[in-house]
Amino acid sequence: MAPIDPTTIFLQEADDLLIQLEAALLDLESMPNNEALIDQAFRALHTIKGSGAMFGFKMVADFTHHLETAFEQVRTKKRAATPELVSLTLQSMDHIRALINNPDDIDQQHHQSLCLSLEKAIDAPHTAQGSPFESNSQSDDASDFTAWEIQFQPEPEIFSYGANPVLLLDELRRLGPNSVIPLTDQVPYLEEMDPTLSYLGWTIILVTDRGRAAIEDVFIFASDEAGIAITELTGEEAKSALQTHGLSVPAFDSPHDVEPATATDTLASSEVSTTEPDSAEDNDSIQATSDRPATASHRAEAHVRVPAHRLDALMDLAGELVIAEARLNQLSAQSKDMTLRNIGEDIERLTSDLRDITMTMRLTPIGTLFNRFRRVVRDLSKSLGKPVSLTLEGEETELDKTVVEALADPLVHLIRNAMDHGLETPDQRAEKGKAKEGHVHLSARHSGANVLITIRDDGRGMDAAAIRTKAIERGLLNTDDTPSDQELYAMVFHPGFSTAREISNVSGRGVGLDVVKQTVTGLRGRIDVTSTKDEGTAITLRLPLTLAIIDGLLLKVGDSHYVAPLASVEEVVDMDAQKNAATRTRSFLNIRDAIVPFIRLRDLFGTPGDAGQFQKVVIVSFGDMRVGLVVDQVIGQHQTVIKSLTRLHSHITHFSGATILGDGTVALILEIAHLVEAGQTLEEQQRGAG
Amino acid sequence: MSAPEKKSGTGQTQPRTLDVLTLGLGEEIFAVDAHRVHEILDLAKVTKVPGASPFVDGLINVRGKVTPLADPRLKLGLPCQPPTADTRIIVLAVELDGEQITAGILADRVFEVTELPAAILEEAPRIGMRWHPDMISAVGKRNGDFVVVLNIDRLFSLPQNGDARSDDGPHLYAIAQEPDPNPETYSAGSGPNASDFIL
Amino acid sequence: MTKTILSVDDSASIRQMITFTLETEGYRVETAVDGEDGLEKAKLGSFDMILADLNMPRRDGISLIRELRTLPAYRFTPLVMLTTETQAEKKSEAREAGATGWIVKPFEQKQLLAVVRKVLG
Repeated sequence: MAPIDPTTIFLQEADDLLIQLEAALLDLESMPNNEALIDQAFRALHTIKGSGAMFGFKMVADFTHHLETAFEQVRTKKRAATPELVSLTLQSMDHIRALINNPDDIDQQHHQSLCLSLEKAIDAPHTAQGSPFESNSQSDDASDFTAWEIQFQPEPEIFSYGANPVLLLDELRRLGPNSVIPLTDQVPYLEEMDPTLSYLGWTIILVTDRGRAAIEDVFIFASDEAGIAITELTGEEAKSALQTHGLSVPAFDSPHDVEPATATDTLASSEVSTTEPDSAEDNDSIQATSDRPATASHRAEAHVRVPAHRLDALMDLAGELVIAEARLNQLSAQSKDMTLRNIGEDIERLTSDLRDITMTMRLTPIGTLFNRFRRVVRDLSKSLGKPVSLTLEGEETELDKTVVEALADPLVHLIRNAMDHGLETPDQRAEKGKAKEGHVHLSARHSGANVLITIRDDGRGMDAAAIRTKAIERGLLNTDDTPSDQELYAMVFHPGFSTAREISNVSGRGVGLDVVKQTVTGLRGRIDVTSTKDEGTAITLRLPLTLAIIDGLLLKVGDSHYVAPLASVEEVVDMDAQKNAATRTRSFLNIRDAIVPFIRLRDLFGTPGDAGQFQKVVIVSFGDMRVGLVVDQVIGQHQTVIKSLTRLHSHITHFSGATILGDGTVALILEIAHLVEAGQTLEEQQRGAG
Repeated sequence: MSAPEKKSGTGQTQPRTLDVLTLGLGEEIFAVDAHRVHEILDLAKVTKVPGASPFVDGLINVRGKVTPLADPRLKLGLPCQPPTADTRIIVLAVELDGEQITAGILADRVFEVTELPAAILEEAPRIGMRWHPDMISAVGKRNGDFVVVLNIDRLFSLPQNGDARSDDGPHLYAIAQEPDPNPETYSAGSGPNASDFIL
Repeated sequence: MTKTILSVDDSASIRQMITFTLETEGYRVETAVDGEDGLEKAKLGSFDMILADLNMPRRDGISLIRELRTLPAYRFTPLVMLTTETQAEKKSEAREAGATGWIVKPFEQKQLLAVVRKVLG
């Protein structure tokens, strides 16, 4: 495999670092004295600067240098993390991002003005220090030729730390014409000699145009015990030394003073920490000190970056393998050949492990996404003139990377929408007796095979009557329709319902709520809205955990097979035992004293023929609701590779997709959310009737 | 040249032949654009999709892909006989609202891939066609029999006879009610414009 | 003969950068993800040089170097520590443990090569 361009790695790493920096900065706004946060910001800047220099982003490194200096001062308590500094840093951060991503497209004026404000803010002399990256040891800056006398007496133990004085001599000799004279006065008699020790010393006369720094560089690793003396030879000294050693250098004229430079300016010049093993600890302290504004987890772990398309390809292959394995398994299970059966079992286990690992590889914590919103909220809060606090919950919740990526824009839109339309102005809030500061809560949690992402605001709530009027206006509703409030709220996601398009430029971006809905539906998810007047609105996106493979329970109804996602299955009970409850008129089961409505899939699907005597009820749940599905037969667990249905069938709500069974036939995957809802409706109807 | 060109009269010069796959539905011979056809399969197990329109209520496995299966006889008002040893599935490309999908259609028989030359892409009878004209892209003649070239995209997208257009009464349509929207761009395989062939 | 270098670092990108840089220059590079991994790989293999990060999970760089120096095979092998400026005091600690030298992070590719050439010849 071709090595990945280091620049690509830097780009990816910088992206992460900027996210960490942003999180730290946003937290610093409310906790300006939190040392862990300051450290975090400093380290992020430090690494961006350092790696930037490492991978050729000089402008980034130079620019970041100012910020790093500022935070170094904050860290050493020479300066406070004032709101101005944080704000300026946030601004600068955006600029860094631009410098990294579009270096050719930089607004020079903006760049200059930011540099100026930074210099002013940190009181820095005009790039006087320059960046520490212009290492001069390797540079070809020609200084004039100078003659040097170097005394080098390594400490005897030099070998024991892996160094080799001969290599150092070789290195010196590469600097220019030279003469090396060994000093043998320390060498003991043979019988006293320890072969692991070094006894020799050297005097080197060297003519070089590289300056003292280059020579000091050679000895950069030498210990304090080593005897090293570097003397510049001037005038007559030089001439006689050169003559003595038979050295002639055409460029050597009369030596000049060479600007002294310290060795640390060269090799050891640039520094920065990259990964921080103690970050976990830092993280804890952040968590401990920040109760309300949630901080992201920035634990720096070792990661290998893999291009997304390779993961996708791997996922596809794992999917195909699961299907092929199912076929093999079916064959081997019928076989009497024990060896074949054993191999079949091995392959089954390996396939299932491979599948699981592949799927976890695609999982990303949603926190990465949530953190972007903190900035959105902060900026929007300023531009709308509405103070807003954002709280986050469940950032560690993992879901498929495709889902996370696809959710970015819809969630931004929902948040903007909540802040723009949901939250009242501070004055309006005061009139209602609410806190002036609005509150937006973003949460994620697992629920069965789904992830629920909720955006909750404490604003004015949705106005069902107004939505109704508008829906009628738009022809989405007849005047005599009587939809529930729930149904009315859901209408705001209808493409023909244009509130979303009239919004101020804040929520704009050309993404309407209908696009939100479309995205969520495309991910096999759905949207629920609850709202209470003057208390606020909660919009919940229910999304499947992964898009590709699920553990399923294989069921049979009539001649057809169906799959229920195993994660939604609670239990399976015999229909027989429930004979009494299961009459045609009352479709309820009594499951441990709870009434559970059930649906006969035969009826629902119009399956012909006789059900047989051994029907089973599969109890499935969605959210807090349960429903029983009456099937002819429960066949067993089945690894289900989900294939989506084409638009010829996508309108059929009973099914979320299809899969291919071991024998090559197609089985439909039950859409539990929908069936549970249907069951609950049934229950309400029957209760109403009964 | 011949009849089809008279109608548009804009002097397009594409070759007026069409490679088609001929198939039998009931007693009739139909054809589909051969360029659309991926493969022809023997009848395999079909999974019914409860709640789907009867026209396309099946799913089959085509090389690991879940593929919808349609029965064109239902759209064309032809009698549905149970499958025989001759029954085949034609897997082909369908464009639905701008999206390409792969679907299968059932055929009672599949004959051959053949070229319908311009000369025999005959002027269809003006009246008395049994099928909705939009579902047909051309009518040709082979061995003395009419061959109706189906417009696959329309076959899938138009409502089934009787469900949405019941007010049209009996399934008798006058041909060429619809002016050709874009006669310039005909090419074999571009479904909608193939109506160019009809006068 | 091609010299083989072991890069021990918990940061994948640093490992990648080191591997990329050194392999481009004709060295053979193997990697280990933390101190323990590094020690194990060093024992199993034979390396002409080892580059170890200072801060690593499961045994830090200093302890790794100290341990390596007790092994006859690595008694005189160049062992170079990757460190940061803020950990200057660590340099002397590293030297006491037996480090040949150090590279201060971040470093440019040419700096890495300079150090490798310096200690490896």
